Amino acid sequence: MTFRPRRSWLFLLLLGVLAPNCPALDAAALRQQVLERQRQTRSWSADFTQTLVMPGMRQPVVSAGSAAYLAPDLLRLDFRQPAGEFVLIVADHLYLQKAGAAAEVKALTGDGGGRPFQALLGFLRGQPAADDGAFDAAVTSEGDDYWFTLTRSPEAAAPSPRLIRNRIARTTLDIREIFVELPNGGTLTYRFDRVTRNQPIAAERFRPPQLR
Amino acid sequence: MHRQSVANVGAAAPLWWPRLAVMALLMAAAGWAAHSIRLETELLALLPQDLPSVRGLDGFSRQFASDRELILVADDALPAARRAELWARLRPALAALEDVQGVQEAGAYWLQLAPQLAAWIAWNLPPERFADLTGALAAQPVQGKLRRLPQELAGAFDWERLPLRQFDPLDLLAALHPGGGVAPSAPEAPWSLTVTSARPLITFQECADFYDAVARTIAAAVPGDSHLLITGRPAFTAEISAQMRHDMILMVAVAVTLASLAFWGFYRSLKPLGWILLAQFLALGAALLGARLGVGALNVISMGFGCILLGIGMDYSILVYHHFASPYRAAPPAWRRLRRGIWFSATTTAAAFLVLAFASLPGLRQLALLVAGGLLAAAAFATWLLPAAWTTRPPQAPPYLERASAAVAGAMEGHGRWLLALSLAAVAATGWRLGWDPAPLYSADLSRFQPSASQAYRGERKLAAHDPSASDAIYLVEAADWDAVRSAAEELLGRFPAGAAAAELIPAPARQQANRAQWPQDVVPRLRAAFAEAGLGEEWSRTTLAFCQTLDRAATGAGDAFAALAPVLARLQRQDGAVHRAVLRIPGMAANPVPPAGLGGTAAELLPVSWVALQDELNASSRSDVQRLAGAALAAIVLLCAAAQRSLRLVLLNLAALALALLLLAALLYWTGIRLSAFSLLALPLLLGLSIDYSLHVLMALEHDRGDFHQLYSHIGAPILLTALASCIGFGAPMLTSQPALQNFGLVMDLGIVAAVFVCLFLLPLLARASARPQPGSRR
Repeated sequence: MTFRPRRSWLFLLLLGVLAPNCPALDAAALRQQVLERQRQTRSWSADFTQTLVMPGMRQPVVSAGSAAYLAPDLLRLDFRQPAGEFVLIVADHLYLQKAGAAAEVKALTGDGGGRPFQALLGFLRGQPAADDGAFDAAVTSEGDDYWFTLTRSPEAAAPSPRLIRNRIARTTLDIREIFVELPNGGTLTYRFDRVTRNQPIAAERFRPPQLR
Repeated sequence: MHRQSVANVGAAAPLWWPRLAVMALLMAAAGWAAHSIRLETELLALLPQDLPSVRGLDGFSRQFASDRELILVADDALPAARRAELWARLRPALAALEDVQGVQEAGAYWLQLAPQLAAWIAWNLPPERFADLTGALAAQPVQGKLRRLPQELAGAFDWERLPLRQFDPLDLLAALHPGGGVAPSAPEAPWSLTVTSARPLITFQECADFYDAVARTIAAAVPGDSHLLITGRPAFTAEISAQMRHDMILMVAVAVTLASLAFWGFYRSLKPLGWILLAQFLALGAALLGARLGVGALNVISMGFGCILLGIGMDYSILVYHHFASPYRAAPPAWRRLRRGIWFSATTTAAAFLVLAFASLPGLRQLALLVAGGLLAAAAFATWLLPAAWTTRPPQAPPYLERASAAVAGAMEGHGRWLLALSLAAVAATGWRLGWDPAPLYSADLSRFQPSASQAYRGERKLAAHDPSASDAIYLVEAADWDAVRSAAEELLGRFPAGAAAAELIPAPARQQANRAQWPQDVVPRLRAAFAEAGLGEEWSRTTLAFCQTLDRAATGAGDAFAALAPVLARLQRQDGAVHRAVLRIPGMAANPVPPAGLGGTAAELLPVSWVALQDELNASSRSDVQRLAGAALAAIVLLCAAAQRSLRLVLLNLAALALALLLLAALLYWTGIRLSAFSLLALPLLLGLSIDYSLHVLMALEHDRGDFHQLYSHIGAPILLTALASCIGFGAPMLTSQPALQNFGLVMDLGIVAAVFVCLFLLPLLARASARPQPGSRR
C-alpha cells in the first residue's frame, strides 16, 4: 500500500483574496490592494480559532491560539488549546510540535504537510499564489466585509476543496475568516481576531526548538 | 587455365523438367512452411534459457504479467484536471466495447481491497507480532486511542496525516509496519487506465485486433488527443507484429534494389538478375522449410537474417554468372573448379554458421540452422539451376571490367607494398591507442538497445516514472511449499542492507495456524460499541471493522475469507502442482538486484526478474560463447582448408588473412566509435567463415594462375567485390529495422566484411607472393 498525500487544500485557502476574476465587484483591483498592503507589512499578529468538522464525528475539533509573522520568512502559530503545541516556519524548515510528542521538522517546500503553511506565508508576504484556475470566483459585500467565494469548477481534480470562502475586512483589508469545505464533506474554519500590523515582535519567538 | 575466346563450345541443352518439378515442389512446401511456422516475438526466447535471470524474467512474464491488459498512460504535460476529464470520457466508451471485460484506473483495486489486504498481511505475521496486533485491539487501548483522536486532530496537526487518521484511527497499521503505517488513498487523477480484454490475447492477430479496437475507440472518444500512450504486453506484441511486417518488406525491398543496382553497376545488365533472384528466393524457401521442419518456430529477430542469407547466397550466383560471362565458360575444367570452389566455400561458411548452433543463445541456433541450410541451398541452385539458364545463351561481361581489373592489377604490382605497409601501420596505431587491450571495443550496456521509438516502450517508461514501485528489485521465489517460499524471501531480505518487509503478502500456513488460536472472538461487536461511544460514525470505523471482520472469518476457518483478494494475489503468487511461486519485491534495489552475499543458499530458488542481472549474466555467457565457438570455428576452418588445399603455406596464409581482417575490423570499430555488444560479439565467428570464403577463392586463383595479379583480378576481382557488396547489403539490411540490437549487429558485420574483402583482395595476394617460391613463367 502506498500513501499519496491528499491535495493540500489549505494551499487554496487564500485564493479568494488573490482571485483574478471576480464578477460582482472589481476583484482584480481589490486583490492588488490586498497584496500591496501585505507587501508593506513587516510584522503581523492575530488570535485565531481553528475549527475542524468531520463527517461521522459528533463533536467539532476546536483549537485556538495566536499567530505571529515577521517578514520575510518567519511564521509561528502558538496554540493555547491544546496547550504547548506550535507550528513554526523558519525559511524552508517547518517545525511541528504536538503535545506530549517530540517536535518534528519537515521541508516547507516539496512536502504535502508544508504546502498549506507555505501558502499562508506567501499571502502574508504579499506574493500571489499559483492559481491553478480550478475554481470559479465571486465577490460579495456583506456588512463591513467582503466575502470571496471560490467554488470548485468541473475542471478541477476531484480531491480539491469543494468551496472556499474568505472574509476580508472592508476598511483594513485584514483577513477575518477562512472557511473551507473539504473533499470528504468536512469543513475547516480559521477565524482571526485582534489583528495587529507592523507592531514589534521579538525575533526570539521564532527560534527553532531543539530536536531529539 | 589459359584464356580462350570461345563462345559456348559444345554446350548441351539442359534438361528442364526435373528443375521445374523441384522448383514447383519447393515453392509449394515453402508456402506451407510460411503459413504454418510459429512466429515468436519474445526477446527472452532468444536468450539462454538456463540463465537465472532469463528464467526469472520469463517466468514472471508468463505467470504474473497480465497478457490481457492494455494500459493507457497519460502524457506528463497533462494536468490532473485534464487527466480526470480524459479518463471520465474514455472509461464508458471503452467499457462498451464487446471484447472489454473491465476498465479500471490505476491503483483502484488496491484502495477497494485495502482492509482485506491489511488483514491478509496480519494473518501471515509471525505469531509474536500478531499478538501485538491483538493487543492493540484490546478494550483499553481501543478506548484510549479513540478518546485521544480529537486531540490528535487539534492544534499543530500535520494535515498530510488526516487521511491516515480517518483510515486507521486505531493506528493498527503500525503493528503491521513497525516503521510507520501508511494509508492507501485514491490518487487525485491517476496517470493510467487499464483496459482488460474479456479473453486471452495470445496470437499476433488477437493482440493487434484488441489494440486496434481500443485505439479506434480512443480516437473516436477524444479526437485529436495526442496525450496518450498505449502500453502493456498486447501493445508490445501488436506493435512488434506491425513493425515486423514493415521491417521485413523494407529490408527485402532495399536488399533486392541495392543488390540489383550493384549488379547493374558491374555488368550493365539486369536480365540475368531475374535468374539470380529466383535462385535466392528458392534458397530462402528451402531455409524456411528447413526451419519449419527443424525448429517449428522462428523468432522475429532471426527472421531479419533472411536478408543476410539473400546477401551471402548471391555470392555464388554472381560467381557463376561471371564465369558464364567470361571467356572461360567453354572450358569444362574451369567450371568444375569453380563449382568445387563454390561448394567448398558454401560448406565452410555453413560450417561456421553451424558452429553457432552450439551457442547458448537459442536465437543464434535458429539463425545458424536458417542460414546454413539456406547457404547450401543457394549453392545448389547456383550450380544446378543457373548453368542451365546460361549455358545455351551465355551473357557477356562489359569490356570495362577487364580494363578496370588490369588497372587494379597494375596498381597492385607497382604500389601494393605501400598499401600493405599502410594497413599494418593503421593496425599498429590502433593497437597502440588501445593499449593492446580490445576491451574498449565492447560495451556491456544493454540499455542502448532499448526500442526508444516504440510507443509501448515509451508508455511503459512513463508508467514506471509515476510508480514508486518502479525502483523495486523483483524476484521469483520457488519452493515446494509456501512456508519455504516465505522463509527464503525473508532470508533474502536480510541480505540487503535495508531489508524491507516486502515478503508480507506471501502466505505462511504455519503462522496462520498459530495466529488462528490467538484471535479474540469478540473484537467486532466490541469495536462497534467503542466507536459509537466515542461519537465516531462509520466514516471512521468502516475500514477497521472490515479489517477485523475479515480476520474473524479467517479465524473461524471460512474458506472464502480472502476470496476478494484472489485476483490481486494471483498477480503475486501461484501454485502449479508441487511448485509454489511468489513474486518478491524489494523497494529501491532495482539497480542492485544481487546482494553481496549472492542469491544462492536458501531453501527455495531465487530467480531475479531483472534486466540488470540479465545484462551481467548475458555478458559472461557471450564472452564464454565467443571463446568457445571462435575456437571451434577456427579448428573447423583449419581442418577444411588443410583437407582442400593440402599445403601448410596456404593454410597459414588463410589464417594470416583472417587475423589481418580481424585486426582491421578492430581498427574500424575504434575509429568509427562503434562498440560490440553481447549480440554482435557473436558476429566474430560469422566473420571467420566469410573471410575464409574470400581467402580461399583468392588463394585458389593465385595458385592456378601462378601468382599472376592480372589473371587474379580479371578472373575473380569483380565477382568478389560484387559478392562483398551483396553481403554488405544483406547484412546491412537489418540496420533499417526498428531493433537496435539488429542494427548494431548489421553495422559490425558490414565493417567486418569491408575489412575481410580488403585484406583478401588486396593484402593477401601480396602476402601470398611474398611467401611463394619463384616459379618459372610466373609474372612478378
